[in-house]
Amino acid sequence: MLTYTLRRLLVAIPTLLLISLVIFLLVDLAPGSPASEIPLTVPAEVRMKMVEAMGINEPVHIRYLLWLKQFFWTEPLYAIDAAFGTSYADGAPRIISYSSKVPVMDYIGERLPQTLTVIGTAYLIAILIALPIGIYSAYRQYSWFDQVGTFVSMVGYSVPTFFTGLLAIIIFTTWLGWFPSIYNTSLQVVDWATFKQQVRQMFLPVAVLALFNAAELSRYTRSAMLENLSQDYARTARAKGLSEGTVVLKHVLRNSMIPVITVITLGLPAIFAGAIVTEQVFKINGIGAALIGAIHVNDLPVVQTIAFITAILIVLFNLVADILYGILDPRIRYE
Amino acid sequence: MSDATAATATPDREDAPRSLWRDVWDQFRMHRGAMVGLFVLSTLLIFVLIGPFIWTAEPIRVNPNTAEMFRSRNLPPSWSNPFGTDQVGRDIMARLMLGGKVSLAVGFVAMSVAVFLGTLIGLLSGYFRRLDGALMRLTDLFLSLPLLPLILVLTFLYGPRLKEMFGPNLGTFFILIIAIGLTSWMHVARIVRGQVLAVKEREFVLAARSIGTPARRIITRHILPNVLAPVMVAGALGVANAIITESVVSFLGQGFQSDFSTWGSMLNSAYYNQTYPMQMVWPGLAISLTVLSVNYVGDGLRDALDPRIRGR
Repeated sequence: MLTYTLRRLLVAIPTLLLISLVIFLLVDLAPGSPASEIPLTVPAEVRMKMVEAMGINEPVHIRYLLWLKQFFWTEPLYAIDAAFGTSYADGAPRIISYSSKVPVMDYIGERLPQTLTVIGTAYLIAILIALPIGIYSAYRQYSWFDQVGTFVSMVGYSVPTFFTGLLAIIIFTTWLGWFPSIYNTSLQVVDWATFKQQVRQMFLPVAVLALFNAAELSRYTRSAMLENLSQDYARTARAKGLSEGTVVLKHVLRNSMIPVITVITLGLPAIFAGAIVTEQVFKINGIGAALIGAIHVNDLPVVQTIAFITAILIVLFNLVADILYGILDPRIRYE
Repeated sequence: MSDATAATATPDREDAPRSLWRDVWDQFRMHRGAMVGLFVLSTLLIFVLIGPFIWTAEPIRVNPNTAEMFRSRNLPPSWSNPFGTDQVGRDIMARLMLGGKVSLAVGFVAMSVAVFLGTLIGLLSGYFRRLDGALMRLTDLFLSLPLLPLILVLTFLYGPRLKEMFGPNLGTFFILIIAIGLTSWMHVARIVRGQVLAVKEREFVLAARSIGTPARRIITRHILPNVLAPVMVAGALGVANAIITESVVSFLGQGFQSDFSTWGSMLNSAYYNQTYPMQMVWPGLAISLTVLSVNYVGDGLRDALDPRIRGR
């Protein structure tokens, strides 16, 4: 197991390097270069200085290596400095956003809490809703509960979040006026009143995202449960006189959870990338919104960094899912 | 159903030969959701393709007479505008028809690109062992990319160049197809590879090879038809995915411009005109219905093409 994990980690390094190259080149070789954003009225020597300050006068491979060094060496050093009050980084140049001139990592750090609270809560609630529904509809297959459940999950899975989000705004904000439609990022939770306000403004985005994620997860749970309920061991467990609750919730559920947990793990990186659409609809100032904003103003370092961090998380959680699968299912042996 | 009872009534009579697709269709008809989905999808297709010949209101151009245009803005539904008019006085039903044509075209063409790429890569890596490692690493690499951000980056950074070359609408169409096609072939490739690996060990492939059939013909004549079923299911679900992606990109203001109508861009402009919520309900409903029916059809197709289920 340990050697397998180590080997997978070693394989992940070239994969990540390749991904970083793809992301860097894709963004860097695009026709709209940041230099073209400088107005033509700027004199030539000033333009030269600006180009130099942005670091785009070097050839592509130098810039790529420089970016890699900043990403994997300088930024972690700054992180260590910030955490322990040391000064290893020693003023080395960081990845700077073109538009706001702050280090990209600080910018992401500012945006991350909103994304994590809203999208993380939505994911958690989705899991809590999806599992019981999936289990019960598989246990009572073709019952009215199952019929309604599968239909609702098909709808929830097919209707895009921007439409459910807009509908939720129309119904709960415009007509009923129960919840605000715009997320107030600067709200500080200090007492009960502000906590209630925070819950109210989180309600709509969380509900919309939870519905979408729960629809997908309950489909997986249902099919995994169905597969296991018809297995021989379930019949054996019943035959030896175990109660229905023990058979379903102990024997069958534990085996059905293996693929479901994998699916849940694989979905976790999406929490970081932020549900771009939901953040846009409810005007949550998170990572997704930061990415959209950066794309609009040609802020290449921000786009590259957010895309690459997401890719790292995807690779990492793929690995975690594989390892979890091996731990949970003793039949699977990685040698 | 009647076939089955007839067969049990007269067990000695040989059944007339039935083609595979006849069996598939019979099984497909048993799936109620899939039949409703097919019906809704055909209705939407008729609405989008034949509708504009019957309903000839102008979908794109704004009335040049400003006074008339102002009077016709944001009208509620009426006989002359069944779905009302939008913020510059254009008929929403005409815009829905045109927008649907574009959205469905993007969905189908992008899916075709993805299925073609995926089948090609899956066939190559399943059949030729030397290519397998490299192509599967490539597939893994693509699966690890953050797709929606990359599609947005592609459309935003490379879109202007294509728009210069092909004009604003055709350019957007091409960039969306390329971006969606390039980022959604991986699942098809994996499915096809798995199928090819299983099929190529079968006796008929060995027989074909032993009489000296070249690899190209073995692939096209013997292997490809046998991997078609899962590809069709993946393709059906891919259409839904591509339609959603197109509308997401347009909704975020990166795809088609809001004066040209697609369901996504109509939602985008309605989002900034929230006083009239019904304007966002129609395109949103159209997207949701399309995706829902395509998903149901895909589900039914999967059941119908699965011989283990069809046998029963």
